[in-house]
Amino acid sequence: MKVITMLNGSLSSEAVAFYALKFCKVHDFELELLHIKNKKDSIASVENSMETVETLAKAMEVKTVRKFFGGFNEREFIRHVETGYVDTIFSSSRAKKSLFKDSFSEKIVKLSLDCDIAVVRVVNLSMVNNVDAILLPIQEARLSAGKFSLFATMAKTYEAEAEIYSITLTSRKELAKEGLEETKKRLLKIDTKLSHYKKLANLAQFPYKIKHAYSLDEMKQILHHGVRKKSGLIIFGAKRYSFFSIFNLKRFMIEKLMKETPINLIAYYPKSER
Amino acid sequence: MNFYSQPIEKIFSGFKTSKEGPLKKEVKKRVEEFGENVLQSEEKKSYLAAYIKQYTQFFAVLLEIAALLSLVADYYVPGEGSDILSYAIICAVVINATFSFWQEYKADKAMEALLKLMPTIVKVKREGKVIEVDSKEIVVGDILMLEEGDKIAADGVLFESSSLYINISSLNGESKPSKRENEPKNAKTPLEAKNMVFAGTTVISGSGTAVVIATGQATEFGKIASLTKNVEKTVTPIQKEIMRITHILTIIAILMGIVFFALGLMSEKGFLMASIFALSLIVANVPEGMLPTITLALSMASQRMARRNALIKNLDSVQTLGSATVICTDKTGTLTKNEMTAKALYLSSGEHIEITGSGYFESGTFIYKEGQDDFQKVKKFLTFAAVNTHALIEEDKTVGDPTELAIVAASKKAQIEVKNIEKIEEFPFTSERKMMSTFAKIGGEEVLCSKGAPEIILDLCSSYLNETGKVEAIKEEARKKFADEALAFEKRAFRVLAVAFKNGNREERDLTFAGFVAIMDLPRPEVKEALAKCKSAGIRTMMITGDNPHTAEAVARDIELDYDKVYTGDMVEEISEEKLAEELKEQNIIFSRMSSNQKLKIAMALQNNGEVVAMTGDGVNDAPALKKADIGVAMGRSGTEVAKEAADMILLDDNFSSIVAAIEEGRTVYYNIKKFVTYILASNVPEIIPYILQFFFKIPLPLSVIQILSIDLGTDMFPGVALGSEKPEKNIMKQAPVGKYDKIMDWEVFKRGYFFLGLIEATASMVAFISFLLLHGWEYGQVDLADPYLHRQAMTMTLLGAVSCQMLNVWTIRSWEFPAWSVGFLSNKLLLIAMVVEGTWIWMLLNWEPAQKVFNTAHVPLSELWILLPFPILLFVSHELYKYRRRVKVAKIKSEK
Repeated sequence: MKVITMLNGSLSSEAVAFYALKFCKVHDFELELLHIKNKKDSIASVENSMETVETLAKAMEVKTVRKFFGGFNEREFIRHVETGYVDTIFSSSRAKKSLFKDSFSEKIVKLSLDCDIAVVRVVNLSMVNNVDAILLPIQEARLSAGKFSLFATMAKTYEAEAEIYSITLTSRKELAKEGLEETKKRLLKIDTKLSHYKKLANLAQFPYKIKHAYSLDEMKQILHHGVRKKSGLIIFGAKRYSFFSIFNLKRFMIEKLMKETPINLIAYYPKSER
Repeated sequence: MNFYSQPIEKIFSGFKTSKEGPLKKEVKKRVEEFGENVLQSEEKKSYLAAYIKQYTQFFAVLLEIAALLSLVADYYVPGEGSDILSYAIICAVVINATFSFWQEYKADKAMEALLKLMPTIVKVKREGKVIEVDSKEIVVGDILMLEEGDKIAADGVLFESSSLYINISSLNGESKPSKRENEPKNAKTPLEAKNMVFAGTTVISGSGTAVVIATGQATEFGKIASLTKNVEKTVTPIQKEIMRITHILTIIAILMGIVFFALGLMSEKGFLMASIFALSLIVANVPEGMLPTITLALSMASQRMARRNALIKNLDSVQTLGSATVICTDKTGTLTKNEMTAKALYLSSGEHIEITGSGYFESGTFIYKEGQDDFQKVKKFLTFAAVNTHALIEEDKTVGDPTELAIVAASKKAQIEVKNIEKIEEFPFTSERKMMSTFAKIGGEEVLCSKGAPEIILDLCSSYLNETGKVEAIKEEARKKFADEALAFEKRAFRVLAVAFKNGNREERDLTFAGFVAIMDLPRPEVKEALAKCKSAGIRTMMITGDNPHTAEAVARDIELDYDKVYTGDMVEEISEEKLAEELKEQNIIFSRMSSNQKLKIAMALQNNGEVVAMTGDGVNDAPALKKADIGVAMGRSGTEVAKEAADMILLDDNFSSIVAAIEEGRTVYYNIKKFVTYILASNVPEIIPYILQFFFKIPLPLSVIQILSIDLGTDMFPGVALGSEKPEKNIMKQAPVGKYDKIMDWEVFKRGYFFLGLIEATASMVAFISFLLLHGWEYGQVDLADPYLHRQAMTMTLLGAVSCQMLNVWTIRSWEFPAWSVGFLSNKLLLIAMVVEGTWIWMLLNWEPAQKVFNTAHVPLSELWILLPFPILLFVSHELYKYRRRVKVAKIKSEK
């Protein structure tokens, strides 16, 4: 199997390739360095980036292959993914986006691609190499195997402190009403639901912590906790876009999170939830 | 490997830049990629939306429906005064909404203050050229050109520097300039790396060149800003309580309304009459004046607090203060005066000398041990010390470092004028050398005077001044003795400086040791009493300081602060939040060597234990902890703007005892609100009962809805406000803190308000109404009176029955526990004014025609008012007896315990 990382010669796409490399290393995947030609990107910069990644890959003993597309063609891209036995596509996300035109990462999360997609927002290049703590925020006990495996991979490869941050959304009124006993019960229920991941983690000798929080605003809570815990990377579960995505409030939250995060962030779009 | 530990070439290649800076076309791309170099600001709050929201609160909606129903009633049955009633209800809603909105108007400006710290124009190198750009255009890979006075625009790694010192207090609270170099020097975190410069900090001196590695929100400064922005403020107890009271009373009102509406329909009163009847009951149940009165009480309390040097930014915080169970306080400036004072000298000849007088301006003398009185020795020693200072003390102002000021103040006590001494050359203090020297002409002789850390100076000394005043070589034994003397001072929380000299030579070696000067930041005299007050009030006090554990402990002992353990910042960093919470459950901990960002962890751990935390702070980095704490307390004098913006309360004098005073006011407010809620509820009963009686018995309507409003918004409002300004009761700081889950409207309030005082008032109203009618020839069964004037007179009697009782109720409810007379009848001027206003109001209702028209009242001769007399007296006496019984009961429980 292989992993595709999208390169356009920018610093952040190079940083994303580094995350992809780490992922490939653990799972023994091949890394495809894919560039889709367009007017904006300089081929020289792209090739320069590819060279940098290849040098790193060589040192990490990861096999790489270069691939260039003449332009973005949905069908061609889908076929490439289908025939290429692709596990995950890594793509970077920029700070500035057009209001009316989808960015590349937005385009691919709309496609029916039979692979997982990791859209990475790199805000701090110095955090790419060195990650001491990784955070996986989830809503209560909503955790998919795919999300967990990406989280575990990243945490293991960086040898970083791993934490699952279970957030229970509540209202001020509910927060004021709930007593200690109810809180204990609720948290115990979440822990019980997540217990099979604990067993898996024990098998893989991957230690992680679970923390709980009540919050009125999920995004604020994640950012606050991430900064406080000095996390170097946040992995966040997201849903693939559809026609109805315009009504998907979580999509707006993820976009806001991507815009305001002071920490590098991976929005993970699993194929299973397509 | 950390990026800042990497060779600079590797950093350049990682960021695709060089010493000459990035290519200009690359800059544009990077702005698109990483965004502008700005902090994300909080979305602006719409005040209009906030104001409109007030009209959607429970009480407001209820009254709005009532007003609407009145208008409908007026449409179908005009001329009954329903229109006036609806306007009056709308007035009540507007008053409520406006006052409540005022509370929310205090917008949080922490983010704006942070933004103000960011520079606008900065010098960068791009394509080999130094250019000036707007700071928001800075991108990663840019080369920052730093000079003295510059505000740094982004995080960067230095590759060239010359005597570069930056002030990083905005990040770690450390006010001492921090030297920057080209090497990271074994740093574990970016903040510790000496080759890093940070956004939001300032260049104090020197120059440097750095490559930008993070911009905007991704900088260390941006992360702190993000912490401040993303801390969720918890709901204050008063907000919760207001919500709860509103819900309870609304439910009672609606239930009563529904029940009597149904009964009305069943008793064939007709839909319209049944609706009006239900509406009257709802209005009678809603205490219209309560919410604005609570706001006013909180507002007045905040004004009283300001007079006691505690400026409250958020009205809700006033009551939260009453619930405070833990105060986490800084040491310097809060528990101590933040004025260094030289308190003792140790001369190498063996003399211990104490110095009296504290601070920089007080006069003082030198106290010698018996037989050691030698002023000339002291003068010589202090001259050597004072030559090495730049501080100035003039009539009422001081300039310079606090430690140097302490030495200058001590030398003034010895009549030494440093400015008369000719300084020839100076060897400045650096953090590496930990000492400074001055070559000066003293008494015609050229002398090198040195001052610095004891271990450094002693190492450079080869001799000392002995008992006879002669220079003698230091033997190991003497060296050890001097070191022990220094340690003994340090253990007593003194900052110790060693002083040495050398004649005729400028080399800083082979010095002659002269002695030590012991300096201390003295505790504030009022702190001991404040701490004792906290203890008796069940409030734990924990000291959080950047000083070392020895100093922290010594100060704690000095001010008699109880503590079980001393933790250092490193220990707090290592321990988990759960473990810290566990430790904090039972024990009082002193936190030493703390950096500001560890405060947040302490605040959260305490809050997890259910504590209500008041936390002090002054630095930018304290802002998240101040926001998270239940009560964030910023220092008015030494605090940064960001800390002040993030805090709920600002201490104008930085004094710990002002926090305690504010807590006392907070508790007072809690009980005052309890008192006037009871007072207001008591008058609800005589407003409800007449309607219920009229429903079941064949009597005329005893009280109109407009008359109910005249009580709630007229006669009750001013005494209610006056109750809100009652002074603290004598035992207020001898009780346990108001529990986080203690309710203002508890069973006691219900019992006293509704079932005790309220029932007496209802009896008074109904007895006044019925007996007045009977005295004027009315017979039971006559529902519609032939004489409307008589009906209005009788309704006025009902109104007066309630109001007269409330007039004495306000005097007896002034103290929740103690006799009314123990509070002092003249101690609350506002109450006296309220009595005059209430008297005038009653006079108007009885004698002024326009008021009579609006409120449907009529003149009642004085000779007929005697009926009202016994009830207020009965209410007053029986409530005093009730309180007496309660006191006996409480005393019994206490003695049993």
